[in-house]
Amino acid sequence: MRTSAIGKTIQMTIKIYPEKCRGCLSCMLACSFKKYRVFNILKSCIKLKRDVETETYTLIIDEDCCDLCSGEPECVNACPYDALIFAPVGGD
Amino acid sequence: MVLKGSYKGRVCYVDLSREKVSRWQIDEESVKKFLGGCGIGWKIAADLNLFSPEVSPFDPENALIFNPGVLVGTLTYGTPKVVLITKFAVLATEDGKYFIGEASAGGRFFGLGLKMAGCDHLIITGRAKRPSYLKVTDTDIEIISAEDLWGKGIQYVTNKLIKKEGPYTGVYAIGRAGENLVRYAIGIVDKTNSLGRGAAAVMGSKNLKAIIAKGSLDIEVADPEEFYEISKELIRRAMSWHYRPVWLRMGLGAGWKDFKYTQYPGKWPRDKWDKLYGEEIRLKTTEKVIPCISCVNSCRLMWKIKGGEFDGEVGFGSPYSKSATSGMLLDVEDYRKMIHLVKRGNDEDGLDFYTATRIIDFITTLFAKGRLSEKEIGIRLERNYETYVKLWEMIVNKEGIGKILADGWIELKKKFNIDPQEYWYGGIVKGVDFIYDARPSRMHPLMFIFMTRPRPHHGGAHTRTNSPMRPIGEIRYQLERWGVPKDALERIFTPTPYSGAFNVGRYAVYMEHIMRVNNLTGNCSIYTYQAIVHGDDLAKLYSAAVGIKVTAYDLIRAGERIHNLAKLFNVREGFDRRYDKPPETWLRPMKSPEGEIPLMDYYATKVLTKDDIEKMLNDYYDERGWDVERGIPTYEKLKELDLYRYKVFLDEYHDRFG
Repeated sequence: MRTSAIGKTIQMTIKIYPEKCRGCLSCMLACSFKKYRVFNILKSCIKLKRDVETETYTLIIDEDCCDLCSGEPECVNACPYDALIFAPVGGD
Repeated sequence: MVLKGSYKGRVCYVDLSREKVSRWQIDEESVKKFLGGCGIGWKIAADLNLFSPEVSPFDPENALIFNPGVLVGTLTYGTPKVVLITKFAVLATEDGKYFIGEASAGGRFFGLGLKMAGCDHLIITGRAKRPSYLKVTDTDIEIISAEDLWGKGIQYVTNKLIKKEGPYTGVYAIGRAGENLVRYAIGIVDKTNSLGRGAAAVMGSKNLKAIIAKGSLDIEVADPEEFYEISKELIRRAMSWHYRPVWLRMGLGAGWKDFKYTQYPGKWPRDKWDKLYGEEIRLKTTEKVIPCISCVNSCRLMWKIKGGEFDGEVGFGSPYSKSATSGMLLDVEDYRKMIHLVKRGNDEDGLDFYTATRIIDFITTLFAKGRLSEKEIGIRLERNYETYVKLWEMIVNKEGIGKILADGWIELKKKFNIDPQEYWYGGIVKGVDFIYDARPSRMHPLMFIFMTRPRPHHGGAHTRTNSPMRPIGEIRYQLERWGVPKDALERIFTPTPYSGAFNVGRYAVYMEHIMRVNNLTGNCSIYTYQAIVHGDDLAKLYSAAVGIKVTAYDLIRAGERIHNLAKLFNVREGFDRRYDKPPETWLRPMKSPEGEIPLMDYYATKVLTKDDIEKMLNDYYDERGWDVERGIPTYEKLKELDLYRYKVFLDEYHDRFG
């Protein structure tokens, strides 16, 4: 949740742009670090789905696990390729 | 003492013959001296007396030691490297010596998988009873039958193993060339990164088709808050690099526009080369650019050939300089045909493209000149693409003349009395051909260390001097940031008549130290090449990650210790100054349509002679504090570096060679 300039509460979410994902694993490393202070891609709330033939990727967020890092999602900060954007729900 | 950081000193040892696995721990004192990664890898090799002179590369006793870098698996700007230490299969001398060295590769999952499986070092000896692959996890290390994978291509095998074991599985695989013991076979990490010209045949000799690694263990850092702060700052710096957008679009081809003429083979006019192999043409094949783990500057390419007889073929790696240089050497005007051979090398057969295409260039040219006859070699050779592909196949399968060509340059001399030093491009030292040539590149420090340390590619040895004509202030600044002492800087930047504005021989010593540090930390040397990350940055990152406080000087000092220890293995084999010499081709001006291109110093102020290079070598050994005449470490140097316990290597050298 964020508050806009006119005091309205805005629902925020992580938007995924799979076509920009290059499969570098930075988001998964950052997520596990934020949560547990260790690097472990298996403990990340965001998972990389990999089509191994075409090396194309999809990112999936486990909503039961992810709390959006209290409004500063570390996976979004860590993505070097703009595949993750923290933005208001809806819109584009 | 349990190490609490990103390097835990965990050794995993597999004896394939006895089917036995053991694990043990390195002590903290050793880590303080050798820092971890391949630094400790060399120490383990010395302590276990691996790679002794009586062991040949294909003997079961030869070892493969995989060492993921200390920073691999943490979140950084790009520290993905895994280093492989082995006695390489490429024959280095006519009297049967083999070089013990290290090769490095990035990747996304293999180094990460090894560390998550609890292996900071994976040592493999012995020979599996049947074609196998090794599955490394934190609960077990298994030798699994690979009879269904034997004979199959690298991309196929890698995909199949990932589908079977899960998407986060790291894979190092070899192709038919490695299986058939072609001495310059390569293996591929995670489909995208080549590892070890000459190591894949050692894998083949052990009946190992692949190694897969995955695990569940955490990768910790000793001081999480400090580490993350330093790392984020370096990531910000790397992401604001002005050239980054070009890298994101072109990968390793990004620099091609700037450095291509340093790799000019001199057969075609430059404008013809630009037209046939220019970046715009080859961008047409680029499908995507793939980074290594957490790297913010992607460099590996996934490409697809469009049009022509290989339409639709997909491959991985980096086809730019490979296809462009060998395309000119072989007079192949269609770049797609050369990219197809790159695919054969990287994605299917696991054959080193450089050595294979240059040996093919050499013998087809000599045949055309009448120096080789059909009677001698059992086949009629033409200078055309069909013949090149046929020879490639014969090498991979070791059929006919291919059986001799598969043994490399030195065997050509032994079998046909053809001196490899006659070859006209790149240069050959200790049986290994180089991807660059010092005449168009000029005598920069990387060229120099091709003589002292015969790895065909950078293998971590990348500094600003790899680019031509960098300002001297920039070159000096980089060494200052790596903690090179003031007195050494004075020596390096005192001009000489034989080396020019800076002393290449003395500089090369510190470049080799930087290389060791890059390799042991896993730091990608593109970041040192572009001077984005310096030794003092890496020291802070290392300190926070491992929990042992170091300075930039401490890093290069450890780099020196590691370099000396690695040298001792090769000194014991007999590699002394007699073998550190320039390829003869460098000393013959390249005759090109653009005019003669002689060997010149870095700033192109003077033509260099053999005598000049000998003087550079004198400086190199002197800067190292070695015996200048013999080009080897002294007992005093070993004492100074706290390596005296390994003096037996020097004793054995003196016993054998006087």
